Amino acid sequence: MKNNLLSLLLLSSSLLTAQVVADFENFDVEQGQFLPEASEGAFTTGNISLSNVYNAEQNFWSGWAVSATTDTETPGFMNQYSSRSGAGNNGSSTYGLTYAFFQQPIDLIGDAAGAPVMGMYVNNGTYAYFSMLEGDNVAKKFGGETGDDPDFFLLTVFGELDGEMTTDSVNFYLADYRFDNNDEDYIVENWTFVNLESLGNVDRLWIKLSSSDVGEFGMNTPAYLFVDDVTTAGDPTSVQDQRRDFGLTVYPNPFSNQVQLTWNETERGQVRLVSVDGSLLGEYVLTQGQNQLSLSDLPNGTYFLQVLTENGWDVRRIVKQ
Amino acid sequence: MRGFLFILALSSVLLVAGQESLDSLQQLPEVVVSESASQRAGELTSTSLSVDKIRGGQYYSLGEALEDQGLLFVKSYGIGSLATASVRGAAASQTTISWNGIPIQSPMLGLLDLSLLPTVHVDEAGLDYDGAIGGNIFINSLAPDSALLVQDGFTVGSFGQFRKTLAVSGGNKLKFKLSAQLDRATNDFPFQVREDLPEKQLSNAALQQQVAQQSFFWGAHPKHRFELHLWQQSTHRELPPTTVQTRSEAYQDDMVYRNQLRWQFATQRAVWQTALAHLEEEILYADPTIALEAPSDFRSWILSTNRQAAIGRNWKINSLIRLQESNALANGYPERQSQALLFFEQEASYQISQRLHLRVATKAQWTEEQPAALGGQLQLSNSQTQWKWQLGVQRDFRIPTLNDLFWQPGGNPDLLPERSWSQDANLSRNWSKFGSQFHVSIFNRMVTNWIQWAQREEQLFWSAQNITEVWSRGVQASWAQDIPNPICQLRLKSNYQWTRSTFQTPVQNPSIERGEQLWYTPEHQVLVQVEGSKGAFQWQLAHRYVSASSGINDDLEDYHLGMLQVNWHPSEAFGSRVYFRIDNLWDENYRVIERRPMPGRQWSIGYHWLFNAN
Repeated sequence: MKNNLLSLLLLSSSLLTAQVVADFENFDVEQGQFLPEASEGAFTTGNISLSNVYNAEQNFWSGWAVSATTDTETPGFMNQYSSRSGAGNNGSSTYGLTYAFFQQPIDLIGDAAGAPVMGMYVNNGTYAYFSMLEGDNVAKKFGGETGDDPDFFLLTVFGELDGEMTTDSVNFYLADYRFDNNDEDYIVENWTFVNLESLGNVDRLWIKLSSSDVGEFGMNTPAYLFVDDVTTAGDPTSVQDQRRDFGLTVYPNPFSNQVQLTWNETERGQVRLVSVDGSLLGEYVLTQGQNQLSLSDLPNGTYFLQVLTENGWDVRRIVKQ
Repeated sequence: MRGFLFILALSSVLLVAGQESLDSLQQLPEVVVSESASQRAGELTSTSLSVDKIRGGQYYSLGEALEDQGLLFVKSYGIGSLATASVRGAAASQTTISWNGIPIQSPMLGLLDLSLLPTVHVDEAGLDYDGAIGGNIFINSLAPDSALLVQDGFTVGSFGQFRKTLAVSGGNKLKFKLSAQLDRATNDFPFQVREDLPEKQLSNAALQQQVAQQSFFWGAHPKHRFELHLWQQSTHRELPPTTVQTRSEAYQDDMVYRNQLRWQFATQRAVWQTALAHLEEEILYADPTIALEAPSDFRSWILSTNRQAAIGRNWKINSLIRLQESNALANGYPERQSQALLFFEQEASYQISQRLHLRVATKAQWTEEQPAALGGQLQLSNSQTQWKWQLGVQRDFRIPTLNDLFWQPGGNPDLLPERSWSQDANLSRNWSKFGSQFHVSIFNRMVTNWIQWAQREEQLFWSAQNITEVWSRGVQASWAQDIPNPICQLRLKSNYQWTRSTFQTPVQNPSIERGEQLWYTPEHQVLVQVEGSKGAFQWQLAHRYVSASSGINDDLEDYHLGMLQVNWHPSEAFGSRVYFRIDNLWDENYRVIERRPMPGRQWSIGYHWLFNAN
């Protein structure tokens, strides 16, 4: 939930260029059905293009598929097209999925090519969900024989621009059993927003899935990723619109009345104090060295400090107790 | 297909060219089962099972019996579950399995589940290390030599094990053998994944199997004999969950029909055998949990003719021609797939001197879409002294299976046959004065065009490819020694096998490095047995050590297994026997396949009653 709010906050803070949401609803797929074959070798929705290879003779598809299937009960390969939610994001009927045993691309087209991607909603499929939860005849149940194995199923998104890979990547755990307390282990089963703005300007995204359950034949965990509502920007962002790590330190955190900010940049920075619902509560200027914010009037809770400069932005979460 | 018929016709002409007139028929030998020209030809490269032990009824399958006597390593997924052979580091599909000379492994997978080979009807079984890349496991049914022989067996044991066997054989001019075997087991054994964790119990592991086999032997004429062998088998096996799987409802049903009609006749200088065999298997793999039903079936017709002739005192010529047509259907096939193959083998053996014997064999196999596969063997042996030795070099092949060729996606019609060069040297010595026997074999084999399902970087799916080479080499040594003592008869038997079988060409996916040992292939195996008898009692204590190996997901630790069996023969007159057996005597927590638990200490008790009205 917090991640979603942060993502929304970041979205609202970005330049309000023309954003396009690829929601897969433009495909004429009846509920319960799926499209393993794209008409011209790729599925196009919004400003993204998803490659597809389909061979009816070999009963085989690769790349991406589009689905409106709803089965959240049946484990196994026969139910490979159903998202764990049995629907798209926000209950929409249609969504996309990829079998990413090897990395799979999302190509940006139109105005989105060369611009940042705001983010996308991702989910597990029913097949992978039950495979991780209960195991199957190939893959292990996460936690293993003892329940203590530090298993994970990780989505990593890379960016590419003009044939060059971006240095940053975004990680998102579709399942995480690495906690000391097994009660904290989880498998994602709802659509969850993954912010991709930090990748900067891109014309292609690369989807990579990895798992702790790996044998000689590669990953045993079913390598499916479900995607919906991919939000792309219409214009390339300037340097100003890219997230940067300024080395800003914030302490104490949590705080009671005052918070100290150490700013090592020579240029001045602007700090915005924003509530979790996105309301602007105050604006401050950062100068090189120690900066102190008096926030004794704030009620207890979580807030965000949004740092803006000519060379990029950053955001920190602070908690008042 | 026309090409095959032409070759078959041509070969038949060649065979018939040497045929003598029926006026000069010679008396048939009483027992001639061997069909393959090279089968059982090399005394030192062939090992037979003790038939008495097979008939005893304590073995659920031939796989158990073969491993119990140290002949091969069985890759077992658990009791009652899939079991395949690993002979001298070869892949399971490289070992042929023949029944009265007819190959019976599935043309779809190229292998046969050893756990589905019942023992009740077996009169002769063993392993030839030559004849195929990974040798040949043979089982034969022989004409009975009693007017009436009734064998009745009954076994119960741990985990709901129940086995009933009945075999009736006899006759005179028309001899018969009728056998039935019924198996049931729950196989719900307890196991622990770690000592500090609670015990679990295997679920969904039950087995039910019914087997009926009939053999008829008709001496229609002094020079002609007919045999009819019929085999019906139905098996229902639940497939238990792995140790990292919460539940399983999967099961597999196997229906097997194997029939063969043999005609044997003799001329003055040759014995001819012609066999017509029909093999049919229907398999249903189903998993209700995932709404999967995967039926498959295959049918094969095999027609073979074998001619064994002697020329003079020193030459023996053995010729074999076999035509096989198989068709199969599976969910992965777009349509019913068929494969016709023609196999030809010609062997000549020459007695160089009283001691030395030379054998030369050539063989070839043709399929419709594949280039001809050629092989052969050269073997020199000395068998007339106390020290027996044998040297051999062999060229073998294995044609791709129907799954390798046609499974979609990934089947590759352009696959080439696997080919191998192998050499072995065998030495044995029998010191009868001291009750000692010694045998050692050294083998070396290189298989090229090794077929491996793999996925290259640019490939979208896994496919069968001739992608690597495998080099196998090793040593097999055995020593048997009578231990004289005033109390009882005692004999010590020991076996050691060192097998190094490595991939020689690296593969990216699956991840295979050069020099990496084949999966599930232990490097060291040791079997030590002590057998004793006194009065009406016999006992056997065995200890087996299997070294660590690597699996496709996890490494497998080494393990030690013990076995104790005590037999009591209360009545010599009726040949009855009561036995008690404990397997995994040391209650070892071990695995042959990772994620597949094996049972701890288990017992079985049974009787075998034999009535002979000879």
